Amino acid sequence: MVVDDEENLLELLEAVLEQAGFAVVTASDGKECLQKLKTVKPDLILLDMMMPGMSGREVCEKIRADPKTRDLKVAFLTVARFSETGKDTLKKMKVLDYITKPFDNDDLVRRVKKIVG
Amino acid sequence: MLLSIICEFFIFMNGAVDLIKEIEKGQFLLILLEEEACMDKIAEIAKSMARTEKKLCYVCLSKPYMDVANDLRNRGIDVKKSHFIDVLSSHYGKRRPTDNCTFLDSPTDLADIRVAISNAIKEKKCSVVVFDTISTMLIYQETSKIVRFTHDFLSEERERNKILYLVLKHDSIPVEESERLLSDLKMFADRTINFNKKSDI
Repeated sequence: MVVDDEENLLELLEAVLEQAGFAVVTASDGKECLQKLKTVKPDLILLDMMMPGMSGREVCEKIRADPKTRDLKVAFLTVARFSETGKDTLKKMKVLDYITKPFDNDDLVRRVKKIVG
Repeated sequence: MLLSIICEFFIFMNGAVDLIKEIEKGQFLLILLEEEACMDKIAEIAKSMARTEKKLCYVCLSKPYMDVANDLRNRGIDVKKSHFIDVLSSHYGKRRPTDNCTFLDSPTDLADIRVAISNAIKEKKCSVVVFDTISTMLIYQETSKIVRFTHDFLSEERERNKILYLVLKHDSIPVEESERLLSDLKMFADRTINFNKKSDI
């Protein structure tokens, strides 16, 4: 599942990952992501950090707080440069990776494959 | 986390948290203050900046420039050594032009605020930026826009090794909104210093 409020980027991510053989579900914000997680159990959630409404951090906290979704794999998509405190927070939230935007398509696919296994 | 905050609080009580030293490190700090302690702490910073010859850029988000300047003057601080960005006076039609203050038309225009700070850093040679307070922005903007503003600002200024310093207090903003903002900003902050006795953050 890819969650990003930027429509063009969401389409690009979907295309790149589908070309690499992944089935992709998209959501344009945190609310839609949480709603879709009621019926879909993705192998990985690629979550944008800075979104209107709920931030990626808040969405991730909600995923971790729900027994039905708490074990799902999460990675962040972000333009952010995290501080050491921020990196510690990512570890506590069991975020497996953070992919910085803009990203290299091949690198993105490689990292997603590594996480999904 | 709680232990760390308790430690910080006791260090503060002993007068050992050296804010100026923290600022000297060129870090992005989140400072949690009670409203009544806010001006004392800002005055302390302004005094120390004057000693180090560093110039302060003070972004007035809670009070207009004239009120802030009078308060600092009453504490014996030469306000001419700082540059101010006032987003409120024009909005309320109480603007009185002065050399050391940039008056902006609206507190809602983040791009305008960003440009004014950039100019203060480049042209006025400010090296410390104080937001009084970032929480106040919640009156005008949603959390995600403030977080993005802060992030973009940091990305640019931290690369140039400019020193940044944000003040955050809770008093006039719904606690839940303030907590959300604080939690997101902590992702970028090098350190959070809590002077707020009431807070358990």
